[in-house]
Amino acid sequence: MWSDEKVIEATKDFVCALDEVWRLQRGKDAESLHFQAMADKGHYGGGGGTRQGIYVLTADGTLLAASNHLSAAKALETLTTGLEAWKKTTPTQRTLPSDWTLPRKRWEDSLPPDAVILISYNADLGAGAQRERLNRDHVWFTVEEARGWLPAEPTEGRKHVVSKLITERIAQFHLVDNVRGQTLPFAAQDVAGTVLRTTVTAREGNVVSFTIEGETQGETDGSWLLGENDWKPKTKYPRGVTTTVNGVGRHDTATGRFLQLEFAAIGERTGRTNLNGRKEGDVGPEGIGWIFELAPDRASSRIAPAFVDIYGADWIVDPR
Amino acid sequence: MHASRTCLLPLLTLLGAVALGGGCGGDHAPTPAVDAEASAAIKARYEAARDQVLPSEAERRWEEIDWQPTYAGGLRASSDQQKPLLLWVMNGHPLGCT
Repeated sequence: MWSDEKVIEATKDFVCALDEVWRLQRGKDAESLHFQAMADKGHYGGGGGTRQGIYVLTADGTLLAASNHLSAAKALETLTTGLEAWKKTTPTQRTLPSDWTLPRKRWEDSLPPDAVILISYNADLGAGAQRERLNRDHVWFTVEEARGWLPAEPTEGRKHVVSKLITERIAQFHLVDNVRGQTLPFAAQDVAGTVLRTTVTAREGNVVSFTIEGETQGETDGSWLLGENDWKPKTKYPRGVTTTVNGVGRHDTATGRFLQLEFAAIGERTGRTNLNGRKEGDVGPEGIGWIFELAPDRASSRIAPAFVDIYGADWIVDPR
Repeated sequence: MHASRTCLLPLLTLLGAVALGGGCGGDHAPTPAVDAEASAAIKARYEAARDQVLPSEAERRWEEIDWQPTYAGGLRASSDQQKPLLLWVMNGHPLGCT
């Protein structure tokens, strides 16, 4: 709905913001409590359920309109209602003191400024695949972790097995079937058959060009091996993802920066989970694919990965 | 996994089989020359897959909107710009995984 021409035009009268609702509707930090006070007056009222949706409000948190639809027409109605209500608000409602802040704790606080961030897109593939849904996520690596993509001495022709840390992070937490909704990760034991390799194809000065290829395998009978956390399901969900990986990259050895890091993982999915939108008749095997590429250098690229809380990296501080 | 490959046969036929050698266990000995043909094949397979998976320009138009990535940041910007705040919240960050 947000790609609709009329909706895009209408958003120009607003400051637009996005956020993850799970933390905001449950958290006890100032930002979450501020959100709850506003959203409890919205389309879902003050009940115990979700607060997903669209809200129009003033800077001081006065709710002007709210709804939860995927229809562009319904979204436009909410924006129009909110804009009309805005015209009746006071300067006090619209303006925050210059020193106003909301103390907050977020996963993003852990991410180093020079981190290597990939954005992923995934979609169903194959003869019967519907492209009306796709999903995206971010992959985080520190500069030190990202060194595992290449050999220590990246001379032309050298082949390298990508580090276990990189391979497992991608296979466990990112090659998962969340095309239609959030899903469950794999444990390290579930992805033991995964291997990624790089080959240095050229070196011009400090810039190393390389290819990426490999095979990934994630498979579980549904046994939960990732400990006690928010993701632990109540039921076993057998599932699997197998892919073939191909990609390319360029790395500046002088700055340590990746100039390009792109790869595709194309393969099959089987099974389902409690939240990923696969019904009993849609458990595969069916085609699925991912594209990973460097995220643009902007604030919105620093949004945390879905499974950041179980990445297991010692540099990630739990904000809760 | 005992998965049937019926649905992916055309795709895999198109992409071809992975041909680059090399086993596991760390860096391999440098080779004297790059296999240009194998590198080109990997790149071609990647580009074919990319075109299948990446959303179209039309599907990505919503990314043109100047989204603030946090609720608090949106409130601050609303005050600074004297505009109402349009907030979209989902299970999973809409700019990330939903």
